[in-house]
Amino acid sequence: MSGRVSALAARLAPSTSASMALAIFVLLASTGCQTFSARQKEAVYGPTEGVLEAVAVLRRHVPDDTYRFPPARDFSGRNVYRASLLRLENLERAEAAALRSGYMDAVITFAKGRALERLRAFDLAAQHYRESARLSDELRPAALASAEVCERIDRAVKIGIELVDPVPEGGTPARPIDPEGVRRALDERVTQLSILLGELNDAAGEDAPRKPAEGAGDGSGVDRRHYRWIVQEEIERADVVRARYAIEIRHVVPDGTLVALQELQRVATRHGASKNRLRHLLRLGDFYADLAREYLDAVPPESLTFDPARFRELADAAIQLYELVGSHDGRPEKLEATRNLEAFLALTLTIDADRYDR
Amino acid sequence: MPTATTAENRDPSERSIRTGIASGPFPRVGSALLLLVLLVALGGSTGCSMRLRRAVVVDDLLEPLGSDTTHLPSPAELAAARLARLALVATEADPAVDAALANVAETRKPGDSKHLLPLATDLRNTTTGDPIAYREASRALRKKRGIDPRLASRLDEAIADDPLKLARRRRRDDWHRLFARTFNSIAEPLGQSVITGFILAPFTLTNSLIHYFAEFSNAEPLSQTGRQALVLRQEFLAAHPDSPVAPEVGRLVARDEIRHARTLALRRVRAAEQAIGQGQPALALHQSRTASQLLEPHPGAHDRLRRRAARLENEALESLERRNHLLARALEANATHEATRASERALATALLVAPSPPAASIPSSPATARLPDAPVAVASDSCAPSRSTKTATKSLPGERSPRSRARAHQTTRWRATPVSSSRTTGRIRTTPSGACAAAAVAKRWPSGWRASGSLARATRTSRRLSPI
Repeated sequence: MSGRVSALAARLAPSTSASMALAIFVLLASTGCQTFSARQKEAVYGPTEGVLEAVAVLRRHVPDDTYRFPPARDFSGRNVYRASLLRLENLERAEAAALRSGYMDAVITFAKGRALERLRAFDLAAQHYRESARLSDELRPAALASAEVCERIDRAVKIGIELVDPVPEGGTPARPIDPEGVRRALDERVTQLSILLGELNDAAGEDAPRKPAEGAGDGSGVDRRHYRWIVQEEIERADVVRARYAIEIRHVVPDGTLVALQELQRVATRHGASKNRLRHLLRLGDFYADLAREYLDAVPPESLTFDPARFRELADAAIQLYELVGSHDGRPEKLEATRNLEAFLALTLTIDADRYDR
Repeated sequence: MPTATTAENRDPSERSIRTGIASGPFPRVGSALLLLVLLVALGGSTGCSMRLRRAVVVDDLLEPLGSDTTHLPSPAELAAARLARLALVATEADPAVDAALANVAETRKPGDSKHLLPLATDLRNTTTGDPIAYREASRALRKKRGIDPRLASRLDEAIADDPLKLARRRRRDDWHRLFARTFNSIAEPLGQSVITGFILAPFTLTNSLIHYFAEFSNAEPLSQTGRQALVLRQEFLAAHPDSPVAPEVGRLVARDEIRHARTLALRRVRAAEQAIGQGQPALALHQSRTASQLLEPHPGAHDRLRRRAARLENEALESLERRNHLLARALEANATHEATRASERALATALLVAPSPPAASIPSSPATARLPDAPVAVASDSCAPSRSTKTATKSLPGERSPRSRARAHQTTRWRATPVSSSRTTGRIRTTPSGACAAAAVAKRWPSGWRASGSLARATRTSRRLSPI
């Protein structure tokens, strides 16, 4: 009996050890694979390893038409210009010793300028361009030309009123009740920007940009085409500010509602190619819906002065605009428009059937 | 401490087993090997994880702090810096950038980072200014060995961010779904009929195929994935109007736009049909008009659908007109008959000048008002003129004679009879704004009660409804 058992054990031992070794190998392989896979997945989230990488990401998106298309986003969903700016600043901090010799200073400063101008920090961008022009002869022409454009844009956008934080710490300053003055100032802003846009378009209409001339600070031979999109964005913003101001003061000026409506329609028609065109239409639809609500509050549907035709005019305009925006696939405004439409139709349920056809 | 002697004193069979195991190939050598492998595995896994998660105590922290030494850039790094400067200001296909990249490759030494050249190449590729060209260059760069995983993942993302490729994938999803539906419509009934020995196979298969073909009638001209593909192609066309493939993409976009319009219009038409079925002509009118508007940009196509939308619009208009007529008719009024004019005027005058009943007289529940000895109350609902009549009768203390009680009792019984059995009852019931309201206030106004009675008597002869 004992002999058979020992023989069995002797026979089993090699196979057992082999199977155990196989199991261990599988365990090791799977562990190793998991680790490698995890590293691969996390690789994209790793810190930036050099200035070249950050500059490459930024340089790829410098020519992007951010007026017609939304700004690019990186793998983490951040605005690519903001992410590049943050990475460059972090590199400056983390690699202070390696960068102390200053061989990359001009590159970093210029790249930060490129990022800042897309984030509407034109004065800071101009400062960075001036600094990079001081540091590098190769960058000087482009940096000086960019600084000049940024300073012109900065001067222009400071004309007139601006959209303000609605809930600031120190309270909200009162809006000036001077529609004519505000409109004149914003027109001046748009005029200056339009002049600049014309110059940039003329420059872009020429043949391929020439090689940058040494020491040229007038922008000749420098590629400034991407500023066209920035300037168009600022013109659009000025129009939006003007429309918003008209909405804000419509109750305290005569025919304020009509003016506000015209301003919103103006924005929607002037910027039909913009990436924000659906947003403009949505605002117009919201305004019609607000007017319909105000009309219902002021003239209840059961009252004798309620005018079904007038209410229908407002309601139909809102519904048509919501439906128009809601028919665009692949845009976040579609969701907003469809939900707004449902909410507005729910409002009309409170009206008598003979005063509003549902 | 066990010795050979003590071991030999144990059970022989156990000893032989132990000896067999100990002396076999698995024994100590195997155990040691197993232990070693486990240690290696543990060390390997720990080492791997250590790379990801550093220990709390870092050796660098224990080293004495020294003054930072300025890093002197190598020639390759200087060349890379020059490449970065040129790339930042370069236009498309600038030969200076290529020369700078070549300089980086030439000046690179073994001590430099191995990732420098791929990063520099990627930076050069970004100066092309054309996303399509950048994708091609990235694809070529990605094929090289030894690329940093971070750069590789970024290149993969750039390569995958191809609208046309994504659009083709979306369209392929359509075919994939069609194949899956076809396969399932056959495989599922066959699999189910295995249990019954394929006796029910013909029935289940036929049923499944009928459903399969019936689903095609619900299919939209442009599917959900087709709409996604259309959006991707439109984006490409808007971003690259001068691309060599733009004409071909434009043709696909034009084709799908027609299908898209038909899809949206078909949805509207179906919604209009449903609205008409549910008695919502205004909604049906809106949906049918919107369907027609959606089809307007494509005059040469969708004639049947356009006719369908027009027919629905006409139906909706007719239905809406009919409904508006009915609604307006509901507010119309008939002229008062000459015979009842005087009594109606008297009743109306009495009603208008009658004071409102105090709130305390309103019963807490309708059931209490039905009790014969219930306190004085006025019926609150307009459809209970009998109750109000009865309570009004009881509400007048001066008139609580046996005769009036009998009359009130009779009134109660009178109300219990069907409407059609009594012409007067029916008349009073059909005039809630008249007799019912009159009874409600009659308890305070005897003349009102009398006026109500005269009205009831008068209506026996007039048969006309009171407009009050």
